[in-house]
Amino acid sequence: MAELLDMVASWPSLLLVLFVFGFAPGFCLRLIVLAYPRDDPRRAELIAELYAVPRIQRPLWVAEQLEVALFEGLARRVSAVLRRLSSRGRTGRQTVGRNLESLLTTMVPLLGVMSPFAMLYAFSVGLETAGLAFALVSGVSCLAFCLVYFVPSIRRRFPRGCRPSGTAGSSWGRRRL
Amino acid sequence: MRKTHALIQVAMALLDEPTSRHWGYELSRKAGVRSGVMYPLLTRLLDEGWLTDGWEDPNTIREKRPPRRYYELTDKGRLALGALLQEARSDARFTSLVWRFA
Repeated sequence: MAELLDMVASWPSLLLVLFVFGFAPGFCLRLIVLAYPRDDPRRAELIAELYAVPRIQRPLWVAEQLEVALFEGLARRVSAVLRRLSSRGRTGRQTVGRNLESLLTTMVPLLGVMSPFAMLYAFSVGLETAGLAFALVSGVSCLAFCLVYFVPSIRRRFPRGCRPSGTAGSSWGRRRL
Repeated sequence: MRKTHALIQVAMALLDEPTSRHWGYELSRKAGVRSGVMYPLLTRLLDEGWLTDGWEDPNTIREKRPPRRYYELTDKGRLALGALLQEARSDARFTSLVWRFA
């Protein structure tokens, strides 16, 4: 416990916290708002509000949003997923795929929100084994973020039922039946 | 809706200018409520139909920033929050807050 306190209170940790929250609050906030569901207007609202907050108050303000996002945004996401799962009694490949997608879109923002803290921890322990593990987790979550951003755009480009030419009778066609 | 100190403070700030647009951060400063409490409270007020929201017109923004969300009191909201403040005046928990509101 004492070691942990020393680690938290160390100068490098403090400087890194100041750097991440002080000089990159926009980045942190953009990660934090991903905890809210995709169609939630709070996502755009908080990013726009950041510009109204004086620079000196931004780190604290962003930290406050983290607190709310964890309790409110994730709760809303989890309840939406549970509602979707309970309303869908069917089984099959499509359902499994959608359930996996729901799980990913719920867990990935959580990992993403944790990633700056994981990186902080990694740096504060001098990139030892545990730190490297955390850095790995944060790297994976950043990658997952990219997927969350890009998968919807790919899906929009190839909407459900859109069949590329020359695939008659393939799984594209059969899936619609 | 459950009466809390934050709700009373926000109600006072909103009724201070009942017809104008209110912005999240400014409202939290004016009401003295931290933003972590303010935004969930605004959502509750929206759900009750006491507030309406809208987005700033992007053509009116001079700085390089996204449009902000604003909140306006509805007629229902004005009545409900006015009644809430009346009740709060007689509530011992809120006397320290409400004396400021004429």
